[in-house]
Amino acid sequence: MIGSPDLLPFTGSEGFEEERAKQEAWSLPEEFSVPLGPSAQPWSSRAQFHRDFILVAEFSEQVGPRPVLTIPNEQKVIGSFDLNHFSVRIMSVDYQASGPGHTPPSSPGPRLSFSEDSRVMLGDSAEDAFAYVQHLTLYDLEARGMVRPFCIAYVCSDQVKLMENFSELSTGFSQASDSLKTGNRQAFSTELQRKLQELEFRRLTLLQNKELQEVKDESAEGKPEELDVLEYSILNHRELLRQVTSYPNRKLQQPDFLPYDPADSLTDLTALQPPEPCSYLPTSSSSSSPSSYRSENLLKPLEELCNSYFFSLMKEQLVDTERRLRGDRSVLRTCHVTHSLSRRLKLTNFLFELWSPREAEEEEGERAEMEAQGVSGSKTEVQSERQSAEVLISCLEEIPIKLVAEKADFSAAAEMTGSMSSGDSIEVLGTEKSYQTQRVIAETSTGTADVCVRCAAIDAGVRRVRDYAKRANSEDSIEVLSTSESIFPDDLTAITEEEAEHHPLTNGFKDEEELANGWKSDELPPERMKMTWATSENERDDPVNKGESLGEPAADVDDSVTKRIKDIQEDVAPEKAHEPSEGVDLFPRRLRLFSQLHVKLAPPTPVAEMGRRSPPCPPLRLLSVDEMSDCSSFTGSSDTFSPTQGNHSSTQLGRRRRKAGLRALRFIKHHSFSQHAIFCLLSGRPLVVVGGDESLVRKQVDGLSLFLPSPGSDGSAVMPCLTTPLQLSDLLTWRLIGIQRSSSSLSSTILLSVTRYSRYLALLDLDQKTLQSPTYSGSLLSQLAEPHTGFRGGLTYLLHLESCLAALASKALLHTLLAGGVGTERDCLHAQGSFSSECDYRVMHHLSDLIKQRHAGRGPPFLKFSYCSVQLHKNTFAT
Amino acid sequence: MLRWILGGREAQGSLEKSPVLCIGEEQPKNCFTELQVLKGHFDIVRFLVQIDDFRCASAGDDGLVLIWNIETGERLQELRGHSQQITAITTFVCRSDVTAHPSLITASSDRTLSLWDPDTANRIQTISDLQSSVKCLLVLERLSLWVSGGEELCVWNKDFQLQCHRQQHSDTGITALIELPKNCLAAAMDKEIVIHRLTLSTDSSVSVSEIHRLSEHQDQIRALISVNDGLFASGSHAGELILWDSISWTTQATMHILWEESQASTQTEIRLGAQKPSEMSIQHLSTNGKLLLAAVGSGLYVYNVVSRTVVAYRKAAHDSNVLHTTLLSDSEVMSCSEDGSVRMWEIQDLPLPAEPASAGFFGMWTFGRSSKQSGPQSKKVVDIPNLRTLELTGDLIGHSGAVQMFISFKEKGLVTCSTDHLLILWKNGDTQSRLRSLALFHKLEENGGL
Repeated sequence: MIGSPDLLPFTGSEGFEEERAKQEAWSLPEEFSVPLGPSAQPWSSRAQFHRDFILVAEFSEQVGPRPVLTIPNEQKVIGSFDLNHFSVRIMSVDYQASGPGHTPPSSPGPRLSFSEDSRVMLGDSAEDAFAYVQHLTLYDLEARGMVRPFCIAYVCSDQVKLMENFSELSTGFSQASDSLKTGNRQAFSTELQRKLQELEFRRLTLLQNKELQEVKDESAEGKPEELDVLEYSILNHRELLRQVTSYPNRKLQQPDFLPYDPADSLTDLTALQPPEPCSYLPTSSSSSSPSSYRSENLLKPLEELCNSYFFSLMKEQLVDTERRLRGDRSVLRTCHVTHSLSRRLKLTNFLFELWSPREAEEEEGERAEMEAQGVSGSKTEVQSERQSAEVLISCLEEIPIKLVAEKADFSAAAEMTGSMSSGDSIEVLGTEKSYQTQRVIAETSTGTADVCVRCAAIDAGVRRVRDYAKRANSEDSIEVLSTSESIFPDDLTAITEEEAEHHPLTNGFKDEEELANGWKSDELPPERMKMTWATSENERDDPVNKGESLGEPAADVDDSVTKRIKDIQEDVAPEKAHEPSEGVDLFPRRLRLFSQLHVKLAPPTPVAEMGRRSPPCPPLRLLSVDEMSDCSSFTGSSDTFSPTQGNHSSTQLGRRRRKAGLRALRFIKHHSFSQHAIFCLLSGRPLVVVGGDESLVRKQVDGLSLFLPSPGSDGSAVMPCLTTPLQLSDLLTWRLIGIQRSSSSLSSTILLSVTRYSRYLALLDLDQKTLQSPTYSGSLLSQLAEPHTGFRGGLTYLLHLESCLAALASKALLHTLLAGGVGTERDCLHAQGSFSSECDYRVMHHLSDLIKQRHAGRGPPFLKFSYCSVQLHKNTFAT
Repeated sequence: MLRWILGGREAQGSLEKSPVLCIGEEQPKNCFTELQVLKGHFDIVRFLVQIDDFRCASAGDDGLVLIWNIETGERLQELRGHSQQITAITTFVCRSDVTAHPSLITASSDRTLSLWDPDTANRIQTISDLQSSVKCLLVLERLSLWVSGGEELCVWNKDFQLQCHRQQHSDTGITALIELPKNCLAAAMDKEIVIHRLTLSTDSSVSVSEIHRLSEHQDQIRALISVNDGLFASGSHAGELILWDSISWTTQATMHILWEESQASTQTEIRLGAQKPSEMSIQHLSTNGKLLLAAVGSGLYVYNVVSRTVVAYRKAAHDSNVLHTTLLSDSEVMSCSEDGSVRMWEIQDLPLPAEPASAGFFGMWTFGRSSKQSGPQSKKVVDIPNLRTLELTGDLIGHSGAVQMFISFKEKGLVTCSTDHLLILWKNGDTQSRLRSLALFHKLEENGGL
């Protein structure tokens, strides 16, 4: 949008200046302010990309900085922007705010430093490319220093926008980064365990060799040294494992946590472990390990550094952040203002969904804070905004960087030839606290100990490590995953049996040594396989037990996750048949899942930091697969933005509403009785939409739902497709009901039940193009639903509709407040002359009743109706 | 329509075939414009009892008794204890020196009787070793006693102590009980009404003795009601409505209501044979002391006990049997039926008083006992002075099953209960809206502004 000069709604710069001036107004009186210099043409930009996007880049130790991921991943967004060049720029900042070198090595052995992310704003004014960059490091056993530096950048052509949305960006990126790092720690610890088992196995093999050699009275010189190296290596890896598993997740639950202090965790280590010379290089051991066949040039891609669940979670979070910040500053600002205003209209804001009630909970804390400070909400907000902007300005800098162009070619190749071990499916996400080490190991060892002595020894070793880890952080929640791929019990038994046979033979070790040395990276040693399998099996088979042993909150999360996943699967499955674009549909559901999950998992962000940002919120209404496909088909024109999108509502919601707006507009234009139908919705008479085509019914219901007052936080007043006979209590919960007419007996039963309650209903028949309802006569709805309206686009109509509905809501509030005065309401209102007809009065009355019921009502919901004649309206418009 | 009501023989034939009344959607006199659905029961709800101005109790086949606040529709208490369906429920006011505290007595098929405190849902008293289940309850407030009727008649004091009992030798047992003057009770047993007298001796012991039997009815007695101090009425399954003197136990009037089945086409005399018993069964009687309203089959029949004349009648008031009726005032009648609707009627003067009314509708009705022996002769009453008509003024549709009972709380609303396990609270929408306004203002005041 920024880069398209054909979109020029203003010819002059007055409008823009005016807005600017307004913005500045509350800072300095006009006479004191320095007149603005000739502002640059705001509609053109030198940026080579067409829209803001998120870039994930890595400083690869082989090829240098390279882009890894862009969100959205569309060429038309990125345009001719040179991602490689930009990656070089953003990765060449000194991001190691608290590197490992800062703390003196207080203990021997390798140490992982859990550094905090650094956040910087970078800019290239020449290219109009500005970025908010968050640097983070991931762990990779095979990387140099076991560290892989990454960064997440929000690339934007408008510097001010970045500053204005700093807190939003910061929170969003922190969440994504946390997810990524958590997943990485899991992957890393899995990798470490794997590695450790390999080493243990090798050590045992060596020991046995030694014994054999001693028996044979042969002395081998090289062996003890090798053994020493191995033991060091084992110790080091254990230490690493301990560190990574003892990462204090606990701190995340505390709002005022201190930055991670590695010295803390080292104290108990030194007490427990004898000091050893620290001359260990992880890379050396990894290069000497059997699995080092992997080329040095091919480090794991990002997908493998992080377990796939958290990786996708991170991506969802980034996508969400990107969506939230779509649009230019004015769009974001407008929608923020709309949102904050409607949020304060506590009495009426529930009537037409201009905001999401879910956010109320999130913002309650903020509100409380403001009240505590005795400052009005807007003022504090503004101040905090300004402060953050100032801070940002100070940290914004431009760094000239030399571009190394040749390296770019490598990156693609490196990315293409990733290793193949990423196929592991994640079975269970456990917690560190609950991780059933004891149990798993016990099982494993009993299963194998009597067969194979070495296995038991290894298990013992592993157990020690695990116990150790467990003791060190009994309260931490966690990230250990078990993987199971193509491991079959049959194979395992075969292997163990084979070993049992071989064991007594003195020359058997040779085979086994071969085996040990000949391991391919994608093969697992039998013990490990057994163990992995046992782990996953155990966790899979015993969900109840697991739930019990989990920490309480974690258990909830876990259960709800699995349940939701199941729900999703169930939801999607039956609709697959007639819905080809399943992938698209699944996506928002997953997003919702993730965002909900995240709300639970995420640490409570400090209030001040949260600022005006709203967390990822699920859409207000549950969307069916069908509806979602509609939405997704609309993405083609998503380059335009509306104030309904962005901050206060997720883009999905905005898109859905826009689509619904179009349908509502069509309904009004194509049906002569549209006003009667809308009157029914607005006066509280439930409207039943009947049609032969279910998708049409659903679409019509979706369109009409815009007119439904107080639709409920999750659209609970709308029933898109009724599948059971209608009951009276249904009319109290649903005020907009869709029914598919079919030849089945169920359908006729449903329709029969509808006729039973025809007194309380209005019936819209899509097939016959008829409406059975009271007749509307009045002026209130004429603007809202003018059949010969000039509106063409769903979006413009939606905006018009929203303003009409907002006006209606404020009238209703007035009505409510006036109604309690002297004299009857009707006299009062007729005296005002606000309503010309009985019908208008009834609309007001219903809205007012809703307000009253919501704020002062008690008891079950009520259905208000009137005994008036019902006419059959036929559509007189040619369609 | 009017001609049909007046009984023009020539017009009946065609009209009688579709006797279903349809009032249409415009009901300006129907003030119930708001409803709330009260959920809580798991089976048929059969009984409603008013506790005080704003509370009512509902009971049914699930053995539950629920207390509702009819102002808000909230469920206040849930009285659990009976394992089987409730067969009778009544309120019992425990009078202490200063206060009158209402409590509930329930009887159930599990052969227990319980006393409940509706405020706390406590089961204060329970009697569980009954020989048979109790079918009806009667509270004698004046004597601080209450009576349970079933296969035996038991008299209890307010502390749930059995005072005396009397075995009844009947298959059906006592189906209805009313209080008569002079410490007498009338109990309906099958086709007879048995008069008992309670004797209170000086040591406050009570004895009960049978003193008279009234055997005028030809069929099972379905309804028994005390009209005023001097009169009580009973109705039978065969459509006999008899008005009795409360003191002398003599018949004051006998009516045999026969909704005529055979119509204009066949003017034969075989009326009794053509009638299905349920068509003329008197299901329910209600009175306001002056008028007696009988639910006869699916019709309604209003009788003035003072002037001993029929006031108005309508054969096909409902599509199915009428189960409960109430006289809201001298001119307003409400009835509910198995067809799931509640209908409101107004007793209106005939707009064409000149036209002679005919008794063709209900085949015969006679005064005095003598006519009973003579059988249902087609003795037509040609001239009925002051005959008025029952005009449908509104209907309430909501239940999907038979409406068993309703209680009117005057302007506060109406509660209906039904076989569909639901209670519906019907209210005047405008009144409620005003009340909600007040509640909102009150709340805003409390919160100190918007």
